[in-house]
Amino acid sequence: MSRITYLLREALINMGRNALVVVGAVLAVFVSLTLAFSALVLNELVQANTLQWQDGVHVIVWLKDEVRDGVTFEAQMGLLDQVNGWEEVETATFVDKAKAYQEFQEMFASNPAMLDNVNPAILPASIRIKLNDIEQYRGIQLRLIDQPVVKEVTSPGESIEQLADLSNVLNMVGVVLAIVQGGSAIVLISNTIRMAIYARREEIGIMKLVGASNWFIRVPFLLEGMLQGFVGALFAVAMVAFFRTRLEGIDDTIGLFDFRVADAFFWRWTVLFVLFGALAGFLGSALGLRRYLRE
Amino acid sequence: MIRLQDVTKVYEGGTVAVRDATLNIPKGEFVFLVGPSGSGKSTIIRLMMRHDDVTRGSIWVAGKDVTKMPSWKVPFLRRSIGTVFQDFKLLPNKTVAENVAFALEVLGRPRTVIKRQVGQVLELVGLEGKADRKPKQLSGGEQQRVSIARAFVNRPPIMLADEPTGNLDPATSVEIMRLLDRINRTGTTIVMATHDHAIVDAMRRRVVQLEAGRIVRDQSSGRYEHQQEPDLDRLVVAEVIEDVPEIDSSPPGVTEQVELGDTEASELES
Repeated sequence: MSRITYLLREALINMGRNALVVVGAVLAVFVSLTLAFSALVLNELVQANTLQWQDGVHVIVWLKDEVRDGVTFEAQMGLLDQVNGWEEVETATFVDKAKAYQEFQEMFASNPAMLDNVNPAILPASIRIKLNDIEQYRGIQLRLIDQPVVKEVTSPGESIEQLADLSNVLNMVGVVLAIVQGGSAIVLISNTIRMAIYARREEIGIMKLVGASNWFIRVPFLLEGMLQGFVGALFAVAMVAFFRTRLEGIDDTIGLFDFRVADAFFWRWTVLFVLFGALAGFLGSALGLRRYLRE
Repeated sequence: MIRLQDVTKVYEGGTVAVRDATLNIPKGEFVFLVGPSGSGKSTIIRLMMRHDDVTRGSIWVAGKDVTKMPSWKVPFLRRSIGTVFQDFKLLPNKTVAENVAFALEVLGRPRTVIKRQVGQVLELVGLEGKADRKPKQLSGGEQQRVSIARAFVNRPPIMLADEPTGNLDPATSVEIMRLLDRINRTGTTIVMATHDHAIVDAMRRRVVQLEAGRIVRDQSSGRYEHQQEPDLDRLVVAEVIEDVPEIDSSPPGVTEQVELGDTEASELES
């Protein structure tokens, strides 16, 4: 027991001795892990939102107007039947002009001026298509655009793809930055450990002289490195937790993109990141100890 | 207790510090290693505690061949060896008691044991009243007592001392030697490297003289200088002392002040 308190005390005293360098190492861990964790959270958000959209409508076919364009209701229903027959299509539903106006009213309930200025007659009827696989939206789009009753075909597929691309790029940048930062954090920690060893070379010499075991000499330094990594990771996790509350604050105002991060996801990664920080600190101090204290 | 067999140590760069040294030190003996600077005294001490590795030969300490010992076992070897140096090697920011306790702390001894043993050993070296002083507040002799206390607190069977009186005035040196003598009389084997003539001459213990890395004299109850007498007396000495290969080589350290000089051949025989 006295042995453990001794080792811990030594680690803490060491850190107090070169506080500035320790702060540098902790900050490096903090920055690298914040970057990595943020990239992960961003990725998770994009994934979750894409999935959400994929559950919804994939392709909307705006139909030409019965009155203005002279398209018959039968022709519109014919297209609906035809689309329902395609194998890529899971379901296709018809939304008539009255239903469209009703949805419009609901969407802009809080904006009476908008409602007053829109004539129900100008809202077109549409066919909403849910695909078996979102990836197929392009082919469907091309096939539909040539149909005589079709005015326009829109799909959120494009934005989903763009978003996925963006998230991939951000992820890559995040991962590269995190790796570079993580590497420099380990090197920095190994440097602080070397300085700590240097500061205590007299003591270490005496410890060796009186027969302290190699591990007894090394453990305080390993603890010190682990503590630095651990504290840096704690700060990083706290930072991401702060980002998370801010993101959830945005949620209500736009409503297009769901900024909420699942608790399970957040806590699982929090634990992993804290452990990873301690591991990085351990590796850093092991690196610092490697040349010294071998004997 | 300690045995060197044909030990040679060549440092990087080709300096030969010890050449074919063979030495046998039984348990409880007090041995002086004498010779000028660079003659290999310190190297032998360093080799015994495995601070350096031999180039050739074997060294047995407490029944174990330290030259073949894996490095992870070296700490355990050192626990059976107390070491004292010319520069004391005390930690300036720790008190006397803390300095001594440190040797036990790093071995993971329980606090109550540490407290008791530190108290006992400080009493032995006569510093029980100065336990809370810092090394800087002590005289050189007192600092060396602390360092001896630290070396002895774990009751090692062997003590190695490298010039322990090198920084001390003659009177203080005598006190330190009294202390080492007391420790020796508890059964501790002591090997002490020195070029303090007065002490070696006064103690009359076994003397191993080194010269350029070779053991040139190994004499029980010896003096520091082998002889500075006329040739006639040398012959007398040669009869008395056997196994002295280089009896005619001029002894090292003749330029140094001989404090208890003017020796007579008859004194050498006693």
